[in-house]
Amino acid sequence: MANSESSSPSEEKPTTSKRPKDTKFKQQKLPAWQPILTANTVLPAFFAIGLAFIPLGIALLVTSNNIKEYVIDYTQCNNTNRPDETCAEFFANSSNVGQSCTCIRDFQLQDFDGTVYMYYGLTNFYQNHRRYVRSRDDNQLNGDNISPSSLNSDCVPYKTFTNETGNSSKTFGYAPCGAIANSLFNDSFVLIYKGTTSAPDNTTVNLISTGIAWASDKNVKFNNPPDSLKSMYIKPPNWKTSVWDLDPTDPSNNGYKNEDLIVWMRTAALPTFRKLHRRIDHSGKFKDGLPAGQYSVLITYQYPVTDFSGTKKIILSTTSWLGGKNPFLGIAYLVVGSLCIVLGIIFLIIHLKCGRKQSDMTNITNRDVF
Amino acid sequence: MGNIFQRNSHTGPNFRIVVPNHTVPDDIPINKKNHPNYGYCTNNIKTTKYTILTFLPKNLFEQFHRFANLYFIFVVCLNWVPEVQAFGKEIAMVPVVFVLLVTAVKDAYEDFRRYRSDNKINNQTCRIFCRKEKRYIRTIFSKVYAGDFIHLSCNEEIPADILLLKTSDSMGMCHIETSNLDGENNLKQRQIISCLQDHQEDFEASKFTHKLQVELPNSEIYKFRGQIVQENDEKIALNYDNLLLRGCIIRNTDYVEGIVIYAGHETKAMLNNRGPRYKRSKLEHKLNRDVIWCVILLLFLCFFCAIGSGIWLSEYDLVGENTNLVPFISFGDLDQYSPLYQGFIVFWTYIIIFQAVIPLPLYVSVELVKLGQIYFINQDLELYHEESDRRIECRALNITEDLGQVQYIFSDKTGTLTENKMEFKSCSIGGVDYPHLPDESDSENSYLDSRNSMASMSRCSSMQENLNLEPALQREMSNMCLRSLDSVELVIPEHVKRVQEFFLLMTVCNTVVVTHHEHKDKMDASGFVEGEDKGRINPPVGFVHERYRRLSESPSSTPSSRFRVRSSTVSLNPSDNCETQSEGSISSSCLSDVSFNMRYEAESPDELALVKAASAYGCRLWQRSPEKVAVYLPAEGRVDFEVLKILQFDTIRKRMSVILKHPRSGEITLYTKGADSSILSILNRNCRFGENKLQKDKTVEHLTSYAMKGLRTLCMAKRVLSEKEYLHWVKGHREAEASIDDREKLIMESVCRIEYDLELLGATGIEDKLQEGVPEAIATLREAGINIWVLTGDKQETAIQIAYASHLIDEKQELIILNANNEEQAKSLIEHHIDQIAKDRSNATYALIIDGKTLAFALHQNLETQFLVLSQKCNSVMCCRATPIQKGNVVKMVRDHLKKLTLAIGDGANDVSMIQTADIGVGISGQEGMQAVMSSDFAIARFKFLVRLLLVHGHWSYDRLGKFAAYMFYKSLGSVFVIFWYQLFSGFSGSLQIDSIYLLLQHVLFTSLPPLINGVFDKDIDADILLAKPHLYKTGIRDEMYTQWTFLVSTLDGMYQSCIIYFIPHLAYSGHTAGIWEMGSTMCTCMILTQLLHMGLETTSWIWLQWVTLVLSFLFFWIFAIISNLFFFTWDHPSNPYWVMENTISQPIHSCTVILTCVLALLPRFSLRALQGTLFPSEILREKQLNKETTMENDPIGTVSGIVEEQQNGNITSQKQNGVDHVKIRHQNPSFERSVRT
Repeated sequence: MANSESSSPSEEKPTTSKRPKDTKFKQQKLPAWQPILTANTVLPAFFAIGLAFIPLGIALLVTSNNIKEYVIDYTQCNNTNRPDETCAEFFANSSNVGQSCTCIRDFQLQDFDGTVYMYYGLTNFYQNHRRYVRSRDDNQLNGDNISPSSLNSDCVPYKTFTNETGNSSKTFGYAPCGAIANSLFNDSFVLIYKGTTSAPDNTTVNLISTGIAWASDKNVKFNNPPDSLKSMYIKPPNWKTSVWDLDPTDPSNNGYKNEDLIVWMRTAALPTFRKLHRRIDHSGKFKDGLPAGQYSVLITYQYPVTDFSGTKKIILSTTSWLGGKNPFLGIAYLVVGSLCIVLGIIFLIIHLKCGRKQSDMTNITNRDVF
Repeated sequence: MGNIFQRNSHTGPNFRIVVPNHTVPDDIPINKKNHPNYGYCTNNIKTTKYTILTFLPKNLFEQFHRFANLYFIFVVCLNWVPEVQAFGKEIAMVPVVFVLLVTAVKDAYEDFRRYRSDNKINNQTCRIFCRKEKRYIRTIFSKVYAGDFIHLSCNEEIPADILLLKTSDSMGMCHIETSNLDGENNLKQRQIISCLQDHQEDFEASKFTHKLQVELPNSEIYKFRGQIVQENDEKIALNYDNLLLRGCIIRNTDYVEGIVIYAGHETKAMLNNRGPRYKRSKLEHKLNRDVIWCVILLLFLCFFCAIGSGIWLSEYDLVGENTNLVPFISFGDLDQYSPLYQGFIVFWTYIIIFQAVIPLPLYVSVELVKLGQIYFINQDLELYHEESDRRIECRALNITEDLGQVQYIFSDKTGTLTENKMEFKSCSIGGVDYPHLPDESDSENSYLDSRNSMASMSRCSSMQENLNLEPALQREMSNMCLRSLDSVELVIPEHVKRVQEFFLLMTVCNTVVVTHHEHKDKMDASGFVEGEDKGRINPPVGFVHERYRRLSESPSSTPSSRFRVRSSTVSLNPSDNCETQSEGSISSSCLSDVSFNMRYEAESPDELALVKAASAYGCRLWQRSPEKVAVYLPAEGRVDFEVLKILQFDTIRKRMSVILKHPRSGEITLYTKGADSSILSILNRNCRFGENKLQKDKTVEHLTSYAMKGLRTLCMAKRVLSEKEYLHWVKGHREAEASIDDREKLIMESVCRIEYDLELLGATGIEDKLQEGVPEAIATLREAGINIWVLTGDKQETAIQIAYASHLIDEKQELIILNANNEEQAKSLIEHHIDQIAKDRSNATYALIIDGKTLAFALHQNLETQFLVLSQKCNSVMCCRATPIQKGNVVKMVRDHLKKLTLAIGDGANDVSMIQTADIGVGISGQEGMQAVMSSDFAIARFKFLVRLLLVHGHWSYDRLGKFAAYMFYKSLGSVFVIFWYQLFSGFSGSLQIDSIYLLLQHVLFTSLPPLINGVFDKDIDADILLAKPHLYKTGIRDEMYTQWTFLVSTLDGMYQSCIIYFIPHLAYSGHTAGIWEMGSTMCTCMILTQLLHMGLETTSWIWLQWVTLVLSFLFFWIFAIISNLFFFTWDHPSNPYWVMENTISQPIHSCTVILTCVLALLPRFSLRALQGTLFPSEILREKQLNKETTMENDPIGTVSGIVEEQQNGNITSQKQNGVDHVKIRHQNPSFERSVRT
């Protein structure tokens, strides 16, 4: 019996065997690429990067240099009504808070060909402060039907306002709520072309206040709420007008859909930042950009920045595929490209001097030993 | 429960009562309180931790015990405090929930596997007596209850702890194999209760109605107390001998019946079952150390930023009346303006923001990586043993990388280095040596034969094949008959008598059990008795049927059977169809007409070898029962000897004896066999003089020469007893046996009273062959820088020989042998040798050999350090005559004092203490049962597999995990510092430029898969090279993959890269109108791309899986960002990322920045790696380059014939390094076998 059965298990074996499967995957024998980083294998990479980066850097630098940009710092601009006093000093007097101050800056421009944009720039303004960034309610800005009490609590202290008259009190919400909206940049500018000395002129450059925000923001993120809500909300404390009167002339640019508001609400990344303010209306005289000549900007100065030692600027700039004028990327590309070339040369030297084959080296050591 | 207490109150607290279930009326089910056996465990085994209902709470509870998880839960809770909040409340939970989920899934899977194995066990079947049908019916294990009657056939597994009531044996005996329980796979006898012995034949389950009073369940395997309470209140004592334990296997008995006493979790086997061990690897200890550094760094960063925040705030004069003056600092309450208060608040915010410094997914992903590694170790074909159909078994799941750092291996000898298959090789009788020399042609054959027989695992008559009978012995044995054994018979020469007596001793003085037929139970699996019933139902085909068929197979011929017995079929008829039939080596003709199959089942392989050898000479053990032993004598045929007493083997006496009564002369003889030391000391005085002395000296000489050949030696002696002497002794012995206190001691003394004054007959030498590939394996391991200590119970000479044969010691080494009789001597010896070695100027290497006695002194506290000093100077250490405890102590000493990673490998129960003590325990699943395997971390089938396990899998695992951990630290630090730099430009307010969704998902989704894949698949170097160049293993021993610098370098690289990732976009975007989220998205893209490319740089071997995961990971982030930004939602306050990614990538500045950043961030590492590869490559890199060059050179042309040939052999062409040429060794296999024997 023992013997007659001794053969049968061997036939059964394949079904019960624990033998692992001999597949390349399970045996970890999949074809593999095993690069070894040595001087000669990385050489091409270094030269390739270098050769790609240097032209790119040059292109970036040229592009950046071709952008024309003019910056006017008007923080310490003199009050047109009282020439001995700057507007900053005017607002330092607490009795003047809430009033406005006007000032004028004259400047000369080279030819600004192509589309020209007007930006305002602020420094030392921490729009990226955590509490500040959070202090908004996107549902409110989206025009959702929400009561003042259900506004995002991050808006505090600019969330609600309780009006106590006698023994009755009523709670209003701020529209829009939060510190970002409350601190909306509200200086306004009028740009006047004075012409050249040979051909004086006095044309106001038309500034377009739409098309400055992302279309996605304007079309989807920011919407006006039903009118029924308006009675429950009041303007933020720092504002002069209600949000519904931001641009009475253009209903599509009014309320939460106001592009100045939308631009401001997209908080800046760094404490020094610029935001697109106006587009130059390139029609008529300014068809090809801003011609060279004398310009003057009339500033309605309302936004205090000296309390946090900030500055305010107006920036006029042409544009390119790269964005604003910033030579950094071009220079960086040139530096990194050159660095790669230098490293490539170093590795070439190393390869020529020490890059013997391992087999040769082993042979030598073997000979040394024996 | 009340019931039990009632019973306990009158039976004493330590007992309980089991009533046969058939005495209980049917209308009382077992689960009702009035059932007398109510409340005892059922036989349903449940080892799972959870049920579907309890899984969630229980698993979460367990997970929250881990510190890291608690920390992250704390951080999540912190995020719910509005003042402190940094991330969106809900999404901040995502990573933690994800990690908990992954861990839970892993736990659930492991539990499910346990559930399935429980199910498998619970659904096995056995036969239970059914009251209604008055017969045994088939029942699954889980439906067995205490009080049930069970019928079991031969080779069946015992389902519960059973009191033995009936066996097929007329004496009421049965044999069980306990290897599942204690690892000893010798057969143990069990006896039915004494009072039932007489009524054995007519015992029927239904008639047994006594109550049983048994002790409460406990884990003591070797103890059991109980009583049968009869109707007349008479009590019959039950003991350990009457109990069949769960998990054991019925052997050598047709069937047994018994009553279940303990079931399920109350059985001794289950009570002894410990859960898996949790070990922490060396690398993990280091990781924990570095996690602490991370905590320190986290606290530092938080403090730094908190202070920064205070200073920044105090620069603004905010205590004025108008709080609106600084529009970007908005507080409702003036009190909050205090910089101190804000610093405190911000500190907690930073704890949340910088939480990723401590890599949250580190622990769970390390576990996942190890699971993957284990899967592939388990799948390795090279670690699969064809003959025994065994894969490597990884029992510990979390120490794979330790395999790559082993510095000390402690190995058992027998069964680990050797096959543990004993072969009779020589004997010395009366001072004459019979060496049984193999002739040349035969040895080749025997090599092949042993391989063949290995292949079929059939031990059928393999004995005779390898044994070349000695003609002289054959001659002397041929006329062996009863007359010649008579001591007064004078015609027969003294020497012939001695030879014959020697073989008689070999035949009878043992506990080998003989069976002549298959054990066949008349009852089939469904409980029907053959030929008895007519309308039998066909049992459902399938599992049960299959199983039963398998069980009924002859164990000796079923390679795949779980049940293997040390047995052999002795075929006497040449025409027998046994396929491995001997080549006519049996010369005795007188029995050739008898055709039968006989199987020997023995306690120890040595005994089996002896009985088989004797059988080959015609002196054949025929039958054994407690009272008599039947022997076939060549010239007489069957003779029955009366056995008066068997004095069992024990480890203290190291010998066993039988006392026989000669059937013709009535002479009483004591036959003793045992270790040479224990026999030589109790010889009679005659041996000091004259011829006897000469004989003894000769024998001792032969013993030494056997030992020198690496044979295991045994001495045989006898003594003729006078009837009077025997009766006197037996009286005293009975008293000793009957005594209660000190029973064992008294028995021992009594036994020693009769075992003295012996006459030496001779000695035997038994060979235990080295396992295939052991010398090569040891040589390779030693070359890999691993110290190998062999701890064996064998005698010194044998051990030394094995050491030479297995390349543990080579001829060049000087032996230092430590044999001391007292501590003083041991101390001076050790000191002397230390001095000697210190003085020695030559380059000699040393091997230390120490015996058990000296080892005991050396392990003593006073000498420990000096012994270690000495042992460290020796390349190999061999401990002989070591006890199991000593083995454990040696490992403990090295582990604790040298702080090196230790591995212990063994196969038997005596190695368990060593295996459990060592950092890694490896069990050989070989001949000696499961005990070593059960306590081990890895179980392999052969010693040689250790080489691949350590050198290849250990190295890979260690390398992969080291890189994995370094990468995880780098990644988390890099990401955190990108945020940190931003704090410098956002007033230390805890502002985030990167959308928190990305930050939170980054480590669990975007960058998690490539490192995991690399941790499982990356190979720093191919397996072939690792095996060909064992010295590469030293990188692991020297801790090179993960040093204290690794963490620092990872940190620095992370910081550098974070600088680049932050400042390049920062500078590029200044003067740009970009908002916070645009810049953040660019930075996030840079960060994820850099980290993935960094992973690519660290990848050494690219398979498609790595390409795919790397590319997919980035695409996943990219597509996730684009798609999520397509939808307007406000819950991700404040980022509200609608259309942000689309706007960002539509600007060329984004791509320009990303490319520049990634190149610059990776440049240093890339250059340094290239520089390292050229100027100072690591050993591994060098071998890899070498390999690449040779294959590059030779592959396309293949001109150099030698290299091509070597490649065909599957070896890597290489220069001869370190003096060992592996190609050569691999071809030496057959000749090795020979050289070991000669």
